[in-house]
Amino acid sequence: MAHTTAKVGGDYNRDIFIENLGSVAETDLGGMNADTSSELHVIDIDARNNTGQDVTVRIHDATSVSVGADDAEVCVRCKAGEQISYNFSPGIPFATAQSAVCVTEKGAKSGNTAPSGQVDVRIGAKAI
Amino acid sequence: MAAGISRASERQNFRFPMSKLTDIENTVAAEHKNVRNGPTTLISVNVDNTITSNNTKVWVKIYDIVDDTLIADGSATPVIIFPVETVSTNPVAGTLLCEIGDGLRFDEGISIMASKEDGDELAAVPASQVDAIFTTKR
Repeated sequence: MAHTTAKVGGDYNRDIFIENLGSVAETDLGGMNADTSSELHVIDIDARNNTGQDVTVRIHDATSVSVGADDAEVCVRCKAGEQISYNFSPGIPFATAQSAVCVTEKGAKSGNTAPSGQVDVRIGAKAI
Repeated sequence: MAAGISRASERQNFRFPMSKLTDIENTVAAEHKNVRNGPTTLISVNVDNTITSNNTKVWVKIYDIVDDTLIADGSATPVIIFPVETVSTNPVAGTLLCEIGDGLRFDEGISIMASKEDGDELAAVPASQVDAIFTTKR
C-alpha cells in the first residue's frame, strides 16, 4: 500500500499516512531522500483492527530494506487492538531516507512476520 | 466520582512518578533493571547524552524484562529503540525526549540501557555517562 504525504507547517513539514503497513517495507517516506536530510518527530500507530498480536514499527535510515536482515534506526511497539503515539523532541535525524515496516516480532531486526490485521501508521517528519 | 472508586485510588491511577537514572550505559548497574519493580506503563523517557567526553551517538534500548543477565549477554530483545545524537550534532544535539501518548504497558518490568550500536545487541557501551529521566503510571 503506497503512502500519502501532506506538506504541513509547524515542527514538522511532512505528514505521512501509511494505510495497512506490513512486512513489506514502505520506502522513502515523503520522498525525503531527495532532501539533504530529515528528522523523525512522530509515530502514530493505529492497531485497533489488529487484535491478534502486538506489533513493532521499525523506521530504517535507508531507501530500501531487507526486512529481518537490516537493523532499524528506530523501533517502537504497540499492543494488540490498541493505538499509541510516540513523539520525539527535538526530532531524530536521518541522513538518507525514512523507510517503514510493521512486524509482529520485537526488536530492530529479527523477524518479518506481518500482522494478521490492519495496522495504519502516521509519520510526522521534517525534510531539511 | 464513580460508585465504588475511591478518590485515593483515582489519584494513584493518575500519578506519574518520575525518576532519574544515571549511567544507563553501565551494563552492570542494577538500578537500570526492572526500574519500577514490576509491571508498569511507560509515559516518557528524556535522555541526556550531553557529556562532551562521550561524544558518541547512542541508541537507547528499553526492555520488557526483569532478568538483567539476559540484557547483559545480549540475548534479550528490546521493545523500544531510538538514537540520541552527540552534543556536537546540530540542530538536534545531546538530548531527546520520547513521549508515549497514553503510555506503553510493560507486563514484566522496564529495563533500560544505552549502547553505541544500533540493533538489538548491546555490544558496545558508551565511554562516558548517559542519563535518563523517565515517567511511568500504574
